[in-house]
Amino acid sequence: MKTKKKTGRRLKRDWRTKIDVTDVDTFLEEKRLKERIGDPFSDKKDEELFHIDTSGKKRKVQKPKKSLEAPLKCLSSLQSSSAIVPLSKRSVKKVNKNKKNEDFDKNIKPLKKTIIKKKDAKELNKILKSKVKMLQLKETSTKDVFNKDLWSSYREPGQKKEKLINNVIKWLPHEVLNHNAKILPKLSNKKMFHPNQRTCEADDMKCPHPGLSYNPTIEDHVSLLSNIAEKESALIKHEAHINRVTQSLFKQVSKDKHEKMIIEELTEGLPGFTNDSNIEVNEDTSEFKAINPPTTRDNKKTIKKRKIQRRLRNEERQRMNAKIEKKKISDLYRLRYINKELDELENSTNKKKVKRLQKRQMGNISTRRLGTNKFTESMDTFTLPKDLKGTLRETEPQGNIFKDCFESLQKRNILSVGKKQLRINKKKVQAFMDPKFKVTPSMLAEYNL
Amino acid sequence: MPMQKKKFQSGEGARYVTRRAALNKLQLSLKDFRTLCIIKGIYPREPAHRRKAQKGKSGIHILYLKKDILFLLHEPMIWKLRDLQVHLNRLRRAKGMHQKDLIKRYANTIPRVSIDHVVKERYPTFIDALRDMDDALTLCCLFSTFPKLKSIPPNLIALCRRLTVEFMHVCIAARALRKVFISIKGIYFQVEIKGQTITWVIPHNYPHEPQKKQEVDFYTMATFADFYSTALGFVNFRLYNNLNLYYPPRLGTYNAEKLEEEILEENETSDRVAALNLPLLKTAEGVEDPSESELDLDTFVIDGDEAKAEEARKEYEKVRKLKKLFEGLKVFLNREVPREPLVFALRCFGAQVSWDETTFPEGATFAETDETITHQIVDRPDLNKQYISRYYIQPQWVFDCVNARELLPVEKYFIGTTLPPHLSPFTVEYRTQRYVPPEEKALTDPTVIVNKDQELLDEISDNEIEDIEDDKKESEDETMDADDEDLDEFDGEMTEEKLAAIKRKQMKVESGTPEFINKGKLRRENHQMQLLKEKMIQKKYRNLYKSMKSGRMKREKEIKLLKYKRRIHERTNLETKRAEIRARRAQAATLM
Repeated sequence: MKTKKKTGRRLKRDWRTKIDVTDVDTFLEEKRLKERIGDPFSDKKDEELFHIDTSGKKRKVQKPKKSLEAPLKCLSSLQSSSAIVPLSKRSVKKVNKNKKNEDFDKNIKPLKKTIIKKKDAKELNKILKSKVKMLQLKETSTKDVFNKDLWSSYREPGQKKEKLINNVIKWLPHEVLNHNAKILPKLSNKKMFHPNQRTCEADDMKCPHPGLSYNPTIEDHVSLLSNIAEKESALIKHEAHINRVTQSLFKQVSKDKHEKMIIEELTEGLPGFTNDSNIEVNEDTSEFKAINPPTTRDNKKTIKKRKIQRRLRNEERQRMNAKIEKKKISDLYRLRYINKELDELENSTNKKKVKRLQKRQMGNISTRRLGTNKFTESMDTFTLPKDLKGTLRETEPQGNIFKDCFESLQKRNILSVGKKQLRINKKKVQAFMDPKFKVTPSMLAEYNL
Repeated sequence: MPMQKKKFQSGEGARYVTRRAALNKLQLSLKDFRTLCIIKGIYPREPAHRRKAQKGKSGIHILYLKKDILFLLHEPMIWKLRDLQVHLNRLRRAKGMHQKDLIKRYANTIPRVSIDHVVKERYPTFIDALRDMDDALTLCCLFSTFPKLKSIPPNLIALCRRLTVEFMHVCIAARALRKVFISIKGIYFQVEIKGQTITWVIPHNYPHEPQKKQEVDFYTMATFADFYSTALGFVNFRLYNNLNLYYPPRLGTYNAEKLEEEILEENETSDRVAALNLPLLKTAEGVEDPSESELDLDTFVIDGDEAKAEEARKEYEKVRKLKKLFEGLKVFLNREVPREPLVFALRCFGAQVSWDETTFPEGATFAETDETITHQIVDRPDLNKQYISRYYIQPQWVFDCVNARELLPVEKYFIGTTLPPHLSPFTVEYRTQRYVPPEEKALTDPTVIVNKDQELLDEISDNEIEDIEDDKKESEDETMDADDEDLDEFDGEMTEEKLAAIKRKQMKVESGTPEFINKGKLRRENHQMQLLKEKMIQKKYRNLYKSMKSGRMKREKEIKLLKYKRRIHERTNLETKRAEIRARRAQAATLM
């Protein structure tokens, strides 16, 4: 036996380099060999090596039942079959077997429960489907469910005003409060300034004319028709006026005649086109003629005349100056009246201002112009006397309520009058061919071009 | 150096913004901006000085108040609108890429922009909301008649139908209907709820006519309908709750099995509800019925004006009677009659209604063969099989009864007869001083009976002929009476003096004598007072007063003249007819 070398044994490195481990290795090697080859035959007994076959038939060998706990076959290669236990890592953390895996318990364990048999699956599926449907229905039906009283915390008639204000202030956001201050007076001290807050005063539902009845009295029907006729005739008159002022001011010429006129105008004076004018031109070219008549020396003013004129002018100027001087003096006297005059002027302008304001307020009531297009009221509906049947079954509905609604909104300044843009008016997209693309005659032939 | 004052930084130029500027400020597309403005109730304005408001630019731009736009800026709905835009873009892309599962997912999860809070904002009190229901109901009624259109979400149409039916149910339960008018456009209804009158139009029951696209902007109107339907829904909820009814409505014969049978798509109304014929189930029993409710009006008047109070009392009494107008009637509607408006009008006043099951599948409560039916509403010239136990009348009777506020005689409305004119209840009589012929009076006031010539002639006997001449004398006597009264006054003074003398003599209690009023004296005094009053009129109003007075006199004269003419005409007519009868009798006598 060798003596121990006195070296450090703390680190792996020390062991590997300085300590002789051959004896341990040989021992392990022997053991491994023994494992591979087995014990030598000499050591074994006869019974172990041989057995006497008494039955001639083959016996079925029953396969041992696989236990669920047994490790999987595929993992066998990873397991060590050696008798020598491999050296394990010393640094491996020891796992506490008693400690629970929380993540596993939480996420995967309940999944194990959900695995169900095929039998139950069908029923479960049914239930699930119905539940999903219910949920969907609920989801969609929440869209238009009115299940709360918006005005529950509001003042009923007889309640105190302070309570209303408190209630309102509770839920109304600040901006809304200020915005609606005019609608709910005394809600906040700060009021929003709204010029012409009100919309048009016209009634929401225009009161129907009694002549619109399906079975009207004669007077009502006649009055309705006469109203409409009056409006219509006014319209016709206006149209005629516009026509007279615009279209009929200009002469209308047919297309052929127009072309002829243009050609005539363009070829004026050109040789070979006009025969008659040629002769006239020839006559005129001989002599130059001015538009204004020639001046003569006969009309010249005399010196005496000029002198008189000058004198008169001077006199006039002097007179004017004297007048101004006189006015200056008189104005000094008038000073005390000027204040009064100024007051009067102010008064009259104020009056005008008030009048203008009133007019504007009156204008609020009527339809205003909100956009480029002006609102024009469409004609009332009516039935001719021959179409009035007098029974509900035979009456034909006239007019268009939808249009009336729309126009009433426009009339009340809620909508601006616009022109509906049709698709036709949209810009057309211009198409270009890629210049790289080469068109061959065969391609053209394919498309019959 | 002072700060330079720049143009349009204060005053009108700073107060308005153009629509384009508003869009930039809010970062919305034009379509979204329009929607937002309609829902929030912000409208374009016309400035006093357009040039200044447009910051010196010419032409006409659409202008909004700057403060309105700043107000919109705080709206949480804007974010929702932007989200919606993103979502729709995704959906469009999925459609373009043919990704079916994505399309399904996006289509099912389109975010809904809730506008409940806006309703709350715009109608701070319930009464405000009721006041604006005119438009809402008209629009909803109209939309409920539409077929599926490209520009209107299909959900909205069903919702509108549901809400209008619910509102009608409330009106029936509250007995709120006041006026009906059938015009050629549609049928006007006026109800009174919480003191607010709501008028709306129901289109006639005809197939939908396609609209011209240039006339009405469908998208805008759909937005309006969206807002109004939400408002109407909450109004309905409140009204149902006030009347102790379940909302959504449950019918009287509610059972769960039946409800499960009719599985409805979202927002669809069941036929049983739409039939309007069954009473709604109440949340609490033993609550006072609105038709029964009675209000004890004060008999004393607080501040003067007794006539007004009296008028109000009369009006109240009339309405109370009107609420029970058709109570006890059993009405059957024929096939050709418009069902919904009639059922609504009849049930609002307590009638029992039924119809042929072929016209509307559900809700018919009794058959035509029922002997207890009192009225059958028919709109055809003749009927083969008629029952004796009931009146066959035309639909106008129902509406005229409602407007007249009492049951009119049925004779004029019998089957096949030409109807009297249907008058509008919405007219306001401005000119009071005019001649009203008795026929016209009878139309509005059924108490006035027009003396028909035929009736008169039937009653004529030879003795009665002299009576007319007596009438003449009587009318003359009346004029004489007036003169007599003047004489009475003389006697009256005498009696007073005598009484005083007697009183002085005998100081003991005697039975009281009725107070003697001297009419002539009173009249003369009144006249003198009037003259004095007239003298007190300011100089600048004197001429106006004179012209008013002369006008009044003129009109009175005209009326008198026309009345006189009418009397003469009637009398001559009668006399000629009598002469005829006499001649006929004489002929008969000679023949005998």
